[in-house]
Amino acid sequence: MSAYGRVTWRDQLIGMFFAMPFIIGVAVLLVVPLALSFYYSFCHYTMLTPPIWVGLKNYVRLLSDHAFMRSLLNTCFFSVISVPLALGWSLLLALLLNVPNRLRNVYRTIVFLPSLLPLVATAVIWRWMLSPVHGPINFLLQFPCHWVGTMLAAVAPLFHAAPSTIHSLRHLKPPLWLEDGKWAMTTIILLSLWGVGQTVIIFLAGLDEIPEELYESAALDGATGLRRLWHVTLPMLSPVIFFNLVIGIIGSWQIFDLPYVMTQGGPGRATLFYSMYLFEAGFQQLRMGAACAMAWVQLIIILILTAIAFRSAKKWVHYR
Amino acid sequence: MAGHVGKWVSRITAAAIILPAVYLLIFGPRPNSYRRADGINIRGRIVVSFWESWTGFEARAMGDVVNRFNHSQSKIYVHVVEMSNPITKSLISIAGGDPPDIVALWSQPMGQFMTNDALVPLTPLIREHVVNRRDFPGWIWRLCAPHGILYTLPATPETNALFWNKILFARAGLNPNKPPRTIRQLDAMAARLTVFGRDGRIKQAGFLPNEPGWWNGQWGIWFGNQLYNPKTHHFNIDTPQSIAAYRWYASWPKKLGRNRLKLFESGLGQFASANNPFMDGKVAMEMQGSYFVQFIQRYNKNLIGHYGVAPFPTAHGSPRSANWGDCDLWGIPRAARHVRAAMKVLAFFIQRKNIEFLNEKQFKASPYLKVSPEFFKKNKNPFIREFQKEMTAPGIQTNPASPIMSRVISEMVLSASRVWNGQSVTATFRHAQHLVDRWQREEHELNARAQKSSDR
Repeated sequence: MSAYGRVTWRDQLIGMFFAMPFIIGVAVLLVVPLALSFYYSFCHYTMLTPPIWVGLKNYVRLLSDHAFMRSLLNTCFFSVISVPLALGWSLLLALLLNVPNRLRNVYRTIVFLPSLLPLVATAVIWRWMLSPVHGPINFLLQFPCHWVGTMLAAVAPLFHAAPSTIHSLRHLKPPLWLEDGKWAMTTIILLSLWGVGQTVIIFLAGLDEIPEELYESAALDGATGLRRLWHVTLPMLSPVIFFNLVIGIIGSWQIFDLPYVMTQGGPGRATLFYSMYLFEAGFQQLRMGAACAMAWVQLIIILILTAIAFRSAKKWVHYR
Repeated sequence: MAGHVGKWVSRITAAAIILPAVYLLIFGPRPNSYRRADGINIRGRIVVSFWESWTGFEARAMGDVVNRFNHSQSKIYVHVVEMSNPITKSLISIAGGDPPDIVALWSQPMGQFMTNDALVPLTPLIREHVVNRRDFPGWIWRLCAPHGILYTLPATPETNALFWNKILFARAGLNPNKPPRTIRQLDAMAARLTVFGRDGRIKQAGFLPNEPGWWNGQWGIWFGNQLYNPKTHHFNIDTPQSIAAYRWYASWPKKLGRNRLKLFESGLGQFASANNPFMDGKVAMEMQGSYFVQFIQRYNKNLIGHYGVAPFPTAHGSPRSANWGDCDLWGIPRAARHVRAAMKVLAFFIQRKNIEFLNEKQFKASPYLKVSPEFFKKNKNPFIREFQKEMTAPGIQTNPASPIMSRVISEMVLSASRVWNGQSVTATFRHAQHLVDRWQREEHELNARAQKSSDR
């Protein structure tokens, strides 16, 4: 810097020189691959032979690709259900963990612990836990299922239930979690709630930031617990909720490891998610051009959803 | 004063750390980077990297052959890297320009390798009379030399057979020495062998097409379907034979109860364990390959002598007229660093005595047509003669070198799972045929374009 505080060309060059590792890193590892993947999305490309320009064919073919459509619908469904569910669940946990208690830190640690476990290890353990024959969950569920089924079967004739319904109620069994196509998606959604520890921590940090005076003045105005939650906590926490919502949307569209380890997309294609099919197309079927097209479609979907979230934020997010 | 002392303390501390470190660097112990764990000094040798996926006894058998090679000469050293899924990894490494020198493959992705010029032709090995097509069954040679050019060498071949549990046969009142020859007999025997518990759950299944479920895309073969026509290059997926096969396949959940069957299947143990359903008596008959004999000897010695092996039944009742064959293969990836050295290694591996050694240790048949008497004498697989005979069976079908083969099999398996879950067999397989035909058209079109651009 010159004696008068003005930045000279020499200063700028020196600054650029020191920033070069970062600039080169971003260019080589991010910008170039992004540009290449955009180009490849218009090519037939197997990674082993030179790309052949096919124009929009990769994008057009996606529309008639049943596996792609299924993975898109599955991911959409997962995102729509799991994001609000995870937000609600983690907010509830954060509110409970914010209640002053002697063991509060222990509870917080317990809630956060599952997030520290590698996802693959978690998936393997849950596979065993949910095994219909050897798993402890179905072992514990079989008795309540039997009682509830018997009770319902007893009252079912009063409602003119069909004999087949009465028969199936009498033999009510716990679900075949991952083996049944109707249950597999629900199971994956429920398991995705297992790792909400980080979201809970962010909510807890947000809750700590809410000034105590607001609660005091709300109490003076006669606001009870629920009203304080609705009129003070949630509005003050809305920037944190918004942050977790955006991160949740992006994460839900990128889900891969949990279903990959637990179901490999099955039964049938019941749990085939977008990123799994993208991986399959690119690295197993060597259709890297199609995989690049899918990656760009995914990016556009995530961008649109994030833009919608940002637009809606004007109405419900309150920044101090 | 205090500052002066502090300076000295930090100098002494720094010296206490740096001096021993420098001493260790100069005089300390160092690994001999030239001496490998097997005791061989590789200084001056070309190191050939070999990626393969076997584990346990199969990996040990391959390791023994590699050791034989490493000790047989002093110019090349083969370094084995065991990994899961070496095929995908080697494809990516070829794309990245840093592949291994030798890769273990199997036949399903061969078409992808061919179309993408991913392997080095092994024609020098034919010229030097290391291999000769007349030494191998036709289907093995077609796997190694699709379109007439030798790209791979056969390592350990595999055909399927019916394994049946004689104890369970006797318990069900069946002749334990008379396995089924037709699918109809298989169904009838399976019905007698299936046992239900008091609660209605399945306790023992006579047969399950999903156990182990590795050939769910190929059931049509045992019903007379030719999955791929090499003359027309057409995949036959919705032929009457294929439809009949999958009607039979879909009949199992109907017969046994879909949910009941799912519950039973979810409790079956791992393949390579004592809880393997065939080994622990949960499934009485199973389709398996010759390697299974070694797994039985390892995990359930009580079953030795109490099970039999026979050609898998067919719909029309002529055994050996239909089977699925496959083979582990060795190839040299394009852009491998040591192609000539890798050829020498492969020339050693493919020597009859080494191939027989490897297959004997893995309980598999030899890919060679002629087998030495020692191979049978030394082999601990009591059924090795049957499996060796099966190698030349007339009805063996195998993976064609089609670039879409992996996708075809995936679609077949998916279609099978759909009909298993109650969808219409005809509609499902007609849809699969439609998809496969489209992929073939697309592939054909792309190949034509690639040809055009390379001509330019």
